[in-house]
Amino acid sequence: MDERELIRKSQAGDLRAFELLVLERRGQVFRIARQILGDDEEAKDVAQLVFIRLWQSLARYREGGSFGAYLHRITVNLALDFARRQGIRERAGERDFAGLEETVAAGGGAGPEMEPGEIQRIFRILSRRLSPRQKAAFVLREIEGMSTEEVSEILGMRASTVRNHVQAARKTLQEGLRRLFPEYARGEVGGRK
Amino acid sequence: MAGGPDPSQLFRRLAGEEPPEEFWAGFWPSVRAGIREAETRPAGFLTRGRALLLGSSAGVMAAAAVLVAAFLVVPVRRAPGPGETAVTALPASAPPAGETSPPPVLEDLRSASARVYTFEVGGPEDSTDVILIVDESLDI
Repeated sequence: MDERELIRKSQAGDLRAFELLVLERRGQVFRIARQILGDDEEAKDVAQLVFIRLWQSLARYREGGSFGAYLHRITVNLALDFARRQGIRERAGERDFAGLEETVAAGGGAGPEMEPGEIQRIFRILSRRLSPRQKAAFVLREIEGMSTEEVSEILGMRASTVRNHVQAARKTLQEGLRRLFPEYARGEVGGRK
Repeated sequence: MAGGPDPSQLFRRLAGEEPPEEFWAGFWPSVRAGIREAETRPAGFLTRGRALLLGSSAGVMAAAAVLVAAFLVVPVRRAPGPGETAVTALPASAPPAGETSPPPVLEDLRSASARVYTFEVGGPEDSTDVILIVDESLDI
């Protein structure tokens, strides 16, 4: 059964079809929420809320529109809302690189054989300096590989604004890599670049 | 971006990362439970945001009380301006000698343009009346 069929059946109230839709999409929803929130359990909670909200609002989705954009818009909005309420960006000492140095020191720098979990940790640390919109734009465009137009539709902003956010995020992350993970910046990390 | 590490290239590797299967244990049952819970709420009843806005019944009653107090206190002794509705204040007075009557009314405020709305919010077991008094002639 393809996704369109699953969506149609779900819209008609078929929970079994909706479960398959959830299985199909939960990974990406979780990843986006995780990059925005920086925490696996919170991201899982948000992913659950996303699918509950999706079920409630599925009747409003019209075939022909991008289902991915529709789903990701719910994901980003709920994740940003969750982050706002948790005050994640406002936690003391995390808004500048000086404040992040202790965090890096506590967990060690990037080792020569950097594992995916280590990359995740580096992103979690460095992305604390990004604004919520910058982070969302970077995650969707650069990590999930969506087009600027898709990101623009999901975030409800102009393509030029998306490009500006992504560019600003790249600059901030690059500076963070230089300052906090110099071993990576010098190319000492195996298999990078 | 020249001459430095490329964050896009580095963090793109996160795209393919999937948590292990056991991470998803209980995920669908929780979603299904959330759906059922949402569906068993009274039709059209509060979304999460509205619930937060309304808060507790005590909060609603406090807001209603402020509205009522504003209505009762503000218009006293204010002369009605052009186009405004007169507010009648009855002075406390003793009844004429020889007449028997109920205890005197100390103060009775009325406004012909005031409208009173009573809403019942909440579920069948936790309903609260919200009283809204609207009087466009009041200058609060």
